[in-house]
Amino acid sequence: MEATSARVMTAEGYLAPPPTPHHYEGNPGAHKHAVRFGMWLFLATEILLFAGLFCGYFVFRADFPEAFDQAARHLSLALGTTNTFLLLTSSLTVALAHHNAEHGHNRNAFWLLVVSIAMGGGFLCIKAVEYTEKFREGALPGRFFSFSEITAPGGPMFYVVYFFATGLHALHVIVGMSLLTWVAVRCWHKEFSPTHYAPVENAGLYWHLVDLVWIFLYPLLYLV
Amino acid sequence: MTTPPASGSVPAPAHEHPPVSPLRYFVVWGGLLALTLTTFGVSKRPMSGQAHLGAAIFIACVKVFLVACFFMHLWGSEGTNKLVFGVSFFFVATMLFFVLADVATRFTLSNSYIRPLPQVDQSILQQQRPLAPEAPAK
Repeated sequence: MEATSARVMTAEGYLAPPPTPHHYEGNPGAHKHAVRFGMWLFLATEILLFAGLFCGYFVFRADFPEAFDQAARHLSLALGTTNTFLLLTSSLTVALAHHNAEHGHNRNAFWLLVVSIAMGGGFLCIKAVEYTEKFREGALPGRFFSFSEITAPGGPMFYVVYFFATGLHALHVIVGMSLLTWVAVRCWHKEFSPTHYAPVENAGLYWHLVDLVWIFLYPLLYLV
Repeated sequence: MTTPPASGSVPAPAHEHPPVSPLRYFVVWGGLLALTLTTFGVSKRPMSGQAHLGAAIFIACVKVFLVACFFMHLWGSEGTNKLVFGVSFFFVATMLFFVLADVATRFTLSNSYIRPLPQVDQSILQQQRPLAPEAPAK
Protein backbone atom coordinates (compact mmCIF):
# COMPACT_ATOMS: atom_id res chain seq x y z
CA MET A 1 0.00 0.00 0.00
CA GLU A 2 2.94 2.35 0.52
CA ALA A 3 3.41 2.37 -3.25
CA THR A 4 -0.16 3.63 -3.60
CA SER A 5 0.20 6.38 -1.01
CA ALA A 6 3.48 7.57 -2.50
CA ARG A 7 2.04 8.14 -5.94
CA VAL A 8 0.32 11.29 -7.11
CA MET A 9 -3.10 11.70 -8.69
CA THR A 10 -2.95 12.66 -12.37
CA ALA A 11 -5.17 15.26 -14.00
CA GLU A 12 -7.24 12.43 -15.52
CA GLY A 13 -8.29 11.28 -12.05
CA TYR A 14 -6.16 8.18 -11.41
CA LEU A 15 -2.90 7.49 -9.68
CA ALA A 16 0.24 7.85 -11.75
CA PRO A 17 1.37 4.37 -12.84
CA PRO A 18 4.19 2.67 -10.93
CA PRO A 19 7.67 2.85 -12.49
CA THR A 20 8.42 0.22 -15.11
CA PRO A 21 11.05 -2.32 -13.95
CA HIS A 22 14.48 -1.10 -14.94
CA HIS A 23 15.13 -3.92 -17.41
CA TYR A 24 12.04 -2.79 -19.36
CA GLU A 25 13.01 0.88 -19.13
CA GLY A 26 12.04 2.60 -22.36
CA ASN A 27 9.98 -0.36 -23.56
CA PRO A 28 6.80 -0.62 -21.47
CA GLY A 29 5.11 -2.54 -24.26
CA ALA A 30 7.52 -5.44 -23.73
CA HIS A 31 6.76 -5.31 -19.99
CA LYS A 32 3.04 -5.70 -20.67
CA HIS A 33 3.69 -8.59 -23.03
CA ALA A 34 5.84 -10.33 -20.41
CA VAL A 35 3.24 -9.87 -17.64
CA ARG A 36 0.45 -11.24 -19.82
CA PHE A 37 2.56 -14.08 -21.24
CA GLY A 38 3.51 -15.19 -17.72
CA MET A 39 -0.15 -15.35 -16.77
CA TRP A 40 -0.99 -17.44 -19.84
CA LEU A 41 1.83 -19.87 -18.99
CA PHE A 42 0.38 -20.21 -15.49
CA LEU A 43 -3.10 -20.77 -16.93
CA ALA A 44 -1.69 -23.56 -19.13
CA THR A 45 -0.48 -25.38 -15.99
CA GLU A 46 -3.95 -24.95 -14.48
CA ILE A 47 -5.57 -26.41 -17.60
CA LEU A 48 -3.29 -29.45 -17.37
CA LEU A 49 -4.08 -29.80 -13.63
CA PHE A 50 -7.81 -30.08 -14.35
CA ALA A 51 -7.13 -32.29 -17.38
CA GLY A 52 -6.01 -35.08 -15.03
CA LEU A 53 -9.41 -35.03 -13.33
CA PHE A 54 -11.23 -34.97 -16.66
CA CYS A 55 -9.14 -37.95 -17.74
CA GLY A 56 -10.23 -39.79 -14.58
CA TYR A 57 -13.84 -38.90 -15.35
CA PHE A 58 -13.67 -40.45 -18.82
CA VAL A 59 -11.90 -43.60 -17.64
CA PHE A 60 -14.33 -44.27 -14.77
CA ARG A 61 -17.29 -43.40 -16.96
CA ALA A 62 -16.11 -46.00 -19.48
CA ASP A 63 -15.73 -48.53 -16.65
CA PHE A 64 -19.06 -47.83 -14.91
CA PRO A 65 -21.45 -46.32 -17.48
CA GLU A 66 -24.65 -47.31 -15.64
CA ALA A 67 -23.55 -45.93 -12.26
CA PHE A 68 -22.50 -42.65 -13.92
CA ASP A 69 -25.87 -42.46 -15.65
CA GLN A 70 -27.79 -43.11 -12.42
CA ALA A 71 -25.65 -40.69 -10.37
CA ALA A 72 -25.92 -37.89 -12.94
CA ARG A 73 -29.72 -38.12 -12.70
CA HIS A 74 -29.47 -37.52 -8.94
CA LEU A 75 -27.66 -34.18 -9.38
CA SER A 76 -29.91 -31.13 -9.34
CA LEU A 77 -30.09 -29.83 -12.91
CA ALA A 78 -31.72 -26.58 -11.73
CA LEU A 79 -28.87 -25.80 -9.31
CA GLY A 80 -26.20 -26.76 -11.85
CA THR A 81 -27.78 -24.60 -14.56
CA THR A 82 -28.17 -21.65 -12.17
CA ASN A 83 -24.47 -21.95 -11.31
CA THR A 84 -23.58 -21.98 -15.02
CA PHE A 85 -25.61 -18.81 -15.49
CA LEU A 86 -23.89 -17.16 -12.49
CA LEU A 87 -20.37 -17.97 -13.69
CA LEU A 88 -21.00 -16.92 -17.31
CA THR A 89 -22.52 -13.62 -16.14
CA SER A 90 -19.69 -13.01 -13.68
CA SER A 91 -17.26 -13.51 -16.57
CA LEU A 92 -19.15 -10.80 -18.45
CA THR A 93 -18.90 -8.37 -15.51
CA VAL A 94 -15.20 -9.16 -15.05
CA ALA A 95 -14.58 -8.50 -18.77
CA LEU A 96 -16.47 -5.19 -18.41
CA ALA A 97 -14.45 -4.34 -15.28
CA HIS A 98 -11.24 -4.93 -17.24
CA HIS A 99 -12.57 -2.70 -20.02
CA ASN A 100 -13.41 0.07 -17.53
CA ALA A 101 -10.09 -0.18 -15.68
CA GLU A 102 -8.27 -0.03 -19.00
CA HIS A 103 -10.03 3.26 -19.74
CA GLY A 104 -9.39 4.67 -16.28
CA HIS A 105 -13.00 4.34 -15.06
CA ASN A 106 -11.92 2.90 -11.72
CA ARG A 107 -15.22 3.32 -9.86
CA ASN A 108 -17.19 1.54 -12.59
CA ALA A 109 -14.63 -1.26 -12.52
CA PHE A 110 -14.93 -1.43 -8.72
CA TRP A 111 -18.70 -1.94 -8.78
CA LEU A 112 -18.50 -4.45 -11.62
CA LEU A 113 -15.92 -6.41 -9.61
CA VAL A 114 -18.18 -6.28 -6.53
CA VAL A 115 -21.02 -7.75 -8.59
CA SER A 116 -18.66 -10.45 -9.91
CA ILE A 117 -17.50 -11.36 -6.40
CA ALA A 118 -21.13 -11.52 -5.24
CA MET A 119 -21.93 -13.92 -8.09
CA GLY A 120 -18.93 -16.04 -7.12
CA GLY A 121 -20.31 -16.09 -3.57
CA GLY A 122 -23.71 -17.12 -4.93
CA PHE A 123 -22.03 -19.95 -6.84
CA LEU A 124 -20.35 -21.21 -3.65
CA CYS A 125 -23.61 -21.01 -1.66
CA ILE A 126 -25.41 -23.13 -4.26
CA LYS A 127 -22.50 -25.57 -4.26
CA ALA A 128 -22.79 -25.79 -0.46
CA VAL A 129 -26.50 -26.62 -0.77
CA GLU A 130 -25.65 -29.39 -3.24
CA TYR A 131 -22.85 -30.77 -1.03
CA THR A 132 -25.14 -30.78 2.02
CA GLU A 133 -27.69 -32.82 0.11
CA LYS A 134 -24.99 -35.30 -0.98
CA PHE A 135 -23.75 -35.70 2.59
CA ARG A 136 -27.32 -36.25 3.83
CA GLU A 137 -27.96 -38.93 1.21
CA GLY A 138 -24.63 -40.67 1.76
CA ALA A 139 -23.72 -39.98 -1.86
CA LEU A 140 -20.03 -39.80 -1.01
CA PRO A 141 -16.70 -40.99 -2.44
CA GLY A 142 -15.11 -44.35 -1.82
CA ARG A 143 -15.90 -46.27 1.36
CA PHE A 144 -18.08 -43.42 2.70
CA PHE A 145 -20.65 -44.19 0.00
CA SER A 146 -24.01 -45.37 1.37
CA PHE A 147 -26.53 -44.16 -1.21
CA SER A 148 -29.11 -46.88 -1.81
CA GLU A 149 -30.63 -45.34 -4.95
CA ILE A 150 -27.55 -46.06 -7.06
CA THR A 151 -27.64 -49.79 -7.60
CA ALA A 152 -25.12 -50.24 -10.42
CA PRO A 153 -21.51 -50.93 -9.41
CA GLY A 154 -19.16 -47.94 -9.43
CA GLY A 155 -21.35 -45.37 -7.64
CA PRO A 156 -18.56 -44.46 -5.20
CA MET A 157 -16.25 -43.73 -8.16
CA PHE A 158 -18.68 -41.20 -9.61
CA TYR A 159 -18.62 -39.30 -6.33
CA VAL A 160 -14.82 -39.46 -6.18
CA VAL A 161 -14.75 -37.65 -9.53
CA TYR A 162 -17.65 -35.37 -8.57
CA PHE A 163 -16.20 -34.19 -5.26
CA PHE A 164 -12.61 -33.87 -6.44
CA ALA A 165 -13.50 -32.03 -9.66
CA THR A 166 -16.09 -29.67 -8.15
CA GLY A 167 -14.03 -29.31 -4.95
CA LEU A 168 -10.88 -28.28 -6.83
CA HIS A 169 -13.02 -25.96 -8.93
CA ALA A 170 -14.63 -24.42 -5.82
CA LEU A 171 -11.14 -23.85 -4.41
CA HIS A 172 -10.31 -21.95 -7.60
CA VAL A 173 -13.52 -19.92 -7.21
CA ILE A 174 -12.37 -18.91 -3.70
CA VAL A 175 -8.90 -17.95 -4.96
CA GLY A 176 -10.47 -16.07 -7.87
CA MET A 177 -12.80 -14.17 -5.53
CA SER A 178 -9.80 -13.24 -3.36
CA LEU A 179 -7.91 -11.92 -6.41
CA LEU A 180 -10.94 -9.95 -7.56
CA THR A 181 -11.30 -8.47 -4.05
CA TRP A 182 -7.64 -7.44 -4.14
CA VAL A 183 -7.99 -5.65 -7.50
CA ALA A 184 -11.37 -4.17 -6.47
CA VAL A 185 -9.69 -2.46 -3.51
CA ARG A 186 -7.05 -1.09 -5.86
CA CYS A 187 -9.81 0.10 -8.21
CA TRP A 188 -11.40 1.93 -5.27
CA HIS A 189 -8.07 3.74 -4.79
CA LYS A 190 -8.21 4.69 -8.49
CA GLU A 191 -4.99 2.95 -9.25
CA PHE A 192 -5.66 1.80 -12.82
CA SER A 193 -5.28 3.75 -16.02
CA PRO A 194 -4.73 3.18 -19.75
CA THR A 195 -1.03 2.58 -19.04
CA HIS A 196 -1.45 0.42 -15.94
CA TYR A 197 -4.20 -2.19 -15.66
CA ALA A 198 -2.32 -5.52 -15.69
CA PRO A 199 -3.56 -6.65 -12.21
CA VAL A 200 -7.21 -6.32 -13.31
CA GLU A 201 -6.43 -8.10 -16.56
CA ASN A 202 -4.59 -11.01 -14.92
CA ALA A 203 -7.11 -11.47 -12.08
CA GLY A 204 -9.76 -11.42 -14.80
CA LEU A 205 -7.89 -14.06 -16.81
CA TYR A 206 -7.85 -16.29 -13.72
CA TRP A 207 -11.58 -15.78 -13.22
CA HIS A 208 -12.28 -16.63 -16.87
CA LEU A 209 -10.28 -19.84 -16.45
CA VAL A 210 -12.56 -20.79 -13.53
CA ASP A 211 -15.43 -20.22 -15.95
CA LEU A 212 -13.77 -22.34 -18.67
CA VAL A 213 -13.40 -25.31 -16.33
CA TRP A 214 -17.04 -25.08 -15.28
CA ILE A 215 -18.12 -24.93 -18.95
CA PHE A 216 -16.77 -28.50 -19.25
CA LEU A 217 -17.81 -29.73 -15.79
CA TYR A 218 -21.45 -28.69 -16.16
CA PRO A 219 -22.41 -30.87 -19.17
CA LEU A 220 -20.17 -33.80 -18.19
CA LEU A 221 -21.51 -34.09 -14.62
CA TYR A 222 -25.08 -32.83 -14.93
CA LEU A 223 -26.20 -33.48 -18.49
CA VAL A 224 -24.69 -36.56 -20.14
CA MET B 1 8.11 11.56 -3.08
CA THR B 2 5.66 13.85 -4.79
CA THR B 3 7.30 13.83 -8.20
CA PRO B 4 5.83 11.53 -10.84
CA PRO B 5 7.84 8.36 -11.46
CA ALA B 6 10.39 8.29 -14.22
CA SER B 7 8.33 5.97 -16.38
CA GLY B 8 5.73 8.69 -16.72
CA SER B 9 7.98 10.40 -19.23
CA VAL B 10 8.18 7.29 -21.41
CA PRO B 11 5.25 7.16 -23.80
CA ALA B 12 3.54 3.80 -23.52
CA PRO B 13 1.07 2.48 -26.06
CA ALA B 14 -2.32 3.05 -24.48
CA HIS B 15 -3.91 -0.07 -25.99
CA GLU B 16 -2.14 -2.89 -27.80
CA HIS B 17 -5.39 -4.11 -29.27
CA PRO B 18 -7.86 -1.99 -31.25
CA PRO B 19 -10.57 -0.33 -29.14
CA VAL B 20 -13.36 -2.75 -28.33
CA SER B 21 -16.94 -1.71 -27.73
CA PRO B 22 -18.44 -3.07 -24.49
CA LEU B 23 -21.38 -4.16 -26.63
CA ARG B 24 -19.24 -7.01 -27.93
CA TYR B 25 -19.04 -8.51 -24.41
CA PHE B 26 -22.84 -8.53 -24.14
CA VAL B 27 -23.13 -10.23 -27.54
CA VAL B 28 -20.65 -12.92 -26.49
CA TRP B 29 -22.50 -13.36 -23.17
CA GLY B 30 -25.77 -13.80 -25.06
CA GLY B 31 -24.10 -16.38 -27.28
CA LEU B 32 -22.80 -18.26 -24.22
CA LEU B 33 -26.26 -18.35 -22.62
CA ALA B 34 -27.79 -19.54 -25.91
CA LEU B 35 -25.19 -22.31 -26.14
CA THR B 36 -25.93 -23.31 -22.52
CA LEU B 37 -29.61 -23.65 -23.42
CA THR B 38 -28.61 -25.60 -26.56
CA THR B 39 -26.49 -28.09 -24.63
CA PHE B 40 -29.35 -28.46 -22.13
CA GLY B 41 -31.86 -29.06 -24.94
CA VAL B 42 -29.60 -31.51 -26.78
CA SER B 43 -29.12 -33.56 -23.60
CA LYS B 44 -32.90 -34.12 -23.44
CA ARG B 45 -33.14 -35.48 -26.98
CA PRO B 46 -33.23 -39.23 -27.51
CA MET B 47 -29.71 -40.10 -28.66
CA SER B 48 -27.08 -42.66 -27.75
CA GLY B 49 -24.83 -41.95 -24.75
CA GLN B 50 -21.81 -41.48 -27.00
CA ALA B 51 -23.70 -38.99 -29.20
CA HIS B 52 -24.77 -37.04 -26.10
CA LEU B 53 -21.17 -36.93 -24.89
CA GLY B 54 -19.86 -35.84 -28.30
CA ALA B 55 -22.47 -33.09 -28.63
CA ALA B 56 -21.83 -31.83 -25.07
CA ILE B 57 -18.06 -31.67 -25.63
CA PHE B 58 -18.46 -29.97 -29.01
CA ILE B 59 -20.73 -27.24 -27.56
CA ALA B 60 -18.42 -26.82 -24.55
CA CYS B 61 -15.47 -26.32 -26.97
CA VAL B 62 -17.41 -23.61 -28.83
CA LYS B 63 -18.15 -21.86 -25.50
CA VAL B 64 -14.49 -22.10 -24.47
CA PHE B 65 -13.52 -20.61 -27.84
CA LEU B 66 -15.86 -17.65 -27.24
CA VAL B 67 -14.65 -17.02 -23.67
CA ALA B 68 -10.96 -17.37 -24.58
CA CYS B 69 -11.13 -15.23 -27.73
CA PHE B 70 -13.30 -12.37 -26.50
CA PHE B 71 -13.47 -12.28 -22.68
CA MET B 72 -9.81 -13.27 -22.36
CA HIS B 73 -8.83 -11.21 -25.42
CA LEU B 74 -6.92 -14.01 -27.10
CA TRP B 75 -8.36 -12.75 -30.39
CA GLY B 76 -5.90 -10.07 -31.46
CA SER B 77 -3.51 -10.95 -28.63
CA GLU B 78 0.20 -11.70 -29.02
CA GLY B 79 0.96 -14.90 -30.91
CA THR B 80 2.87 -16.32 -27.93
CA ASN B 81 -0.30 -16.32 -25.79
CA LYS B 82 -2.25 -18.10 -28.52
CA LEU B 83 0.57 -20.62 -28.80
CA VAL B 84 0.52 -21.34 -25.04
CA PHE B 85 -3.25 -21.81 -24.96
CA GLY B 86 -3.31 -23.85 -28.17
CA VAL B 87 -0.47 -26.11 -27.08
CA SER B 88 -2.01 -26.74 -23.65
CA PHE B 89 -5.24 -27.79 -25.35
CA PHE B 90 -3.29 -29.98 -27.75
CA PHE B 91 -1.53 -31.73 -24.85
CA VAL B 92 -4.83 -32.26 -23.03
CA ALA B 93 -6.35 -33.71 -26.21
CA THR B 94 -3.31 -35.97 -26.70
CA MET B 95 -3.52 -37.27 -23.13
CA LEU B 96 -7.26 -37.91 -23.35
CA PHE B 97 -6.94 -39.55 -26.78
CA PHE B 98 -4.33 -42.11 -25.79
CA VAL B 99 -5.92 -42.91 -22.41
CA LEU B 100 -9.35 -43.35 -23.99
CA ALA B 101 -7.90 -45.32 -26.91
CA ASP B 102 -6.48 -47.70 -24.30
CA VAL B 103 -9.75 -47.97 -22.36
CA ALA B 104 -11.83 -48.40 -25.52
CA THR B 105 -9.72 -51.20 -27.00
CA ARG B 106 -9.23 -53.36 -23.90
CA PHE B 107 -10.43 -56.95 -24.14
CA THR B 108 -10.58 -59.93 -21.83
CA LEU B 109 -7.55 -62.12 -22.42
CA SER B 110 -9.30 -65.43 -21.65
CA ASN B 111 -11.78 -64.84 -24.48
CA SER B 112 -9.15 -63.77 -26.98
CA TYR B 113 -7.67 -65.59 -29.94
CA ILE B 114 -4.37 -66.09 -28.10
CA ARG B 115 -3.79 -69.81 -27.61
CA PRO B 116 -3.33 -70.99 -24.03
CA LEU B 117 0.24 -71.55 -22.92
CA PRO B 118 1.50 -75.14 -23.32
CA GLN B 119 1.52 -77.27 -20.21
CA VAL B 120 4.88 -77.40 -18.51
CA ASP B 121 6.46 -80.82 -18.58
CA GLN B 122 6.73 -81.60 -14.86
CA SER B 123 9.63 -84.02 -15.45
CA ILE B 124 11.82 -81.08 -16.47
CA LEU B 125 11.33 -79.55 -13.06
CA GLN B 126 12.48 -82.81 -11.44
CA GLN B 127 15.84 -82.68 -13.21
CA GLN B 128 17.27 -79.98 -11.00
CA ARG B 129 20.88 -79.38 -11.76
CA PRO B 130 23.05 -79.49 -8.67
CA LEU B 131 24.25 -76.15 -7.41
CA ALA B 132 27.71 -75.14 -8.55
CA PRO B 133 30.32 -75.99 -5.89
CA GLU B 134 31.46 -73.03 -3.91
CA ALA B 135 34.91 -71.68 -4.62
CA PRO B 136 37.42 -73.33 -2.26
CA ALA B 137 38.48 -71.10 0.58
CA LYS B 138 42.11 -70.01 0.42
